[in-house]
Amino acid sequence: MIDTTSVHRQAWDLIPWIVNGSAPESEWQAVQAHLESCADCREELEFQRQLHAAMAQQVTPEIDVRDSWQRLRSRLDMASEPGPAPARSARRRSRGIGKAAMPWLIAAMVVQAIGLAALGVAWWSRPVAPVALQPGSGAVYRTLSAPDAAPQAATIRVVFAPEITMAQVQAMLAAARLQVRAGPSDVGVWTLGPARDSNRAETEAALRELRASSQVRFAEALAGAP
Amino acid sequence: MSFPVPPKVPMPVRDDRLDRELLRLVAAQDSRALEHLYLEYHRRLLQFLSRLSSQRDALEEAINDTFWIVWRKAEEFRGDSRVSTWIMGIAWRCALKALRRNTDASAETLASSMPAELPSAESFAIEERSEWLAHGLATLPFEQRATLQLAYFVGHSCEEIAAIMDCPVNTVKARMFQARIKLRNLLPKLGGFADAKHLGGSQL
Repeated sequence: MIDTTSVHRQAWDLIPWIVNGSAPESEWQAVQAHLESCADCREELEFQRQLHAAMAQQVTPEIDVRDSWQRLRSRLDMASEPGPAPARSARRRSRGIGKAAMPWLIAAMVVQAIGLAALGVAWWSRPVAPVALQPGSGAVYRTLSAPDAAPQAATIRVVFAPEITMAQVQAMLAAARLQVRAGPSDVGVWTLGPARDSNRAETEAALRELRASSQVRFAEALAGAP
Repeated sequence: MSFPVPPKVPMPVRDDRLDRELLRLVAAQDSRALEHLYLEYHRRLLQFLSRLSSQRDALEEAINDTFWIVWRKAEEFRGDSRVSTWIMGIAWRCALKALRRNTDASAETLASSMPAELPSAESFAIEERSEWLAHGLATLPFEQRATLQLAYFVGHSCEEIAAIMDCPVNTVKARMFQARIKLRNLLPKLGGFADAKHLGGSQL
């Protein structure tokens, strides 16, 4: 003897998976056989179809996927840098880290660039030391915001594919009119800057050129880059 | 008597072979593959998670937490399930952590915005019905809402939902059962659905 209650319960349980199309054909056939004699299940099937259709029409909020991705990428970049790991929770905390850390990082890179430039100046200008001094005013101090530091500033960070050769790196940088400012870091991040004075459009053009290469895993403009 | 084959699910089924290849690259720390996966899954995750919370910040936080884990754990994927099931499972766990604290508040906000006197069923347009459906869903417990969402909006099977929510298949069935009973009681009044004369089947 067939237990009709059990059959009904099984059919009733299967209805959502019939409606969403994930139930196998055999289950659909079993439910179909039961539907012929069960008004309750026919009504339930119709109700669930209405519910399914109504849920498909639900509006999804708009979130800019590119902005979201940039925030995640910044978080991954921060994690790949040497130092303490970033907080797990994404947005607010990673933004907080970004706001707090990025000016410091940029300042550190500018200081490093200026330091290298100063060493270069000191090296090449040793015989003409008075040029570096204002008569009667002592040493000349260069501030972090001094405009002539701009051509030396780092503008781009990039990670090359592991198999790239130095010759390829040099060719790529020459084509994009970039020079190495620092790196590679322990995790393979190179910091680049323009070979000569550049503006924002040139930085973006260089970025596009880098990103177009299959040998570049990742490239981004540094915050505040011209 | 025969009944028409049900329509296909609204969310397209993803090519698991492509997803597996992308995940293999992600495991090798290929950020471009991660970006591709992110862009492909963002809307799917947003559609799922936005039914669990209306907090925009929490939604993005949960999505980015999900892909943070994908980036770090991709090499641990053993291929026991579809990649989409694996990623949705991570999203579910992130949702539990990032969204659960906001869920009650969201439901209360939705409930408090409902008018005291319900208009007649005939006056509902499709958009209004959708809005009332959101109210109805908001009254469901978190797990029941997620189960319904995964089944009807994302199109997962009962077994896949069990894998995503890390629970027995019978638990998924029970949650779906409870959600259906509750919505059959609520939605005829809320959204103009057919009268619920048989709440879950009189023979049950």
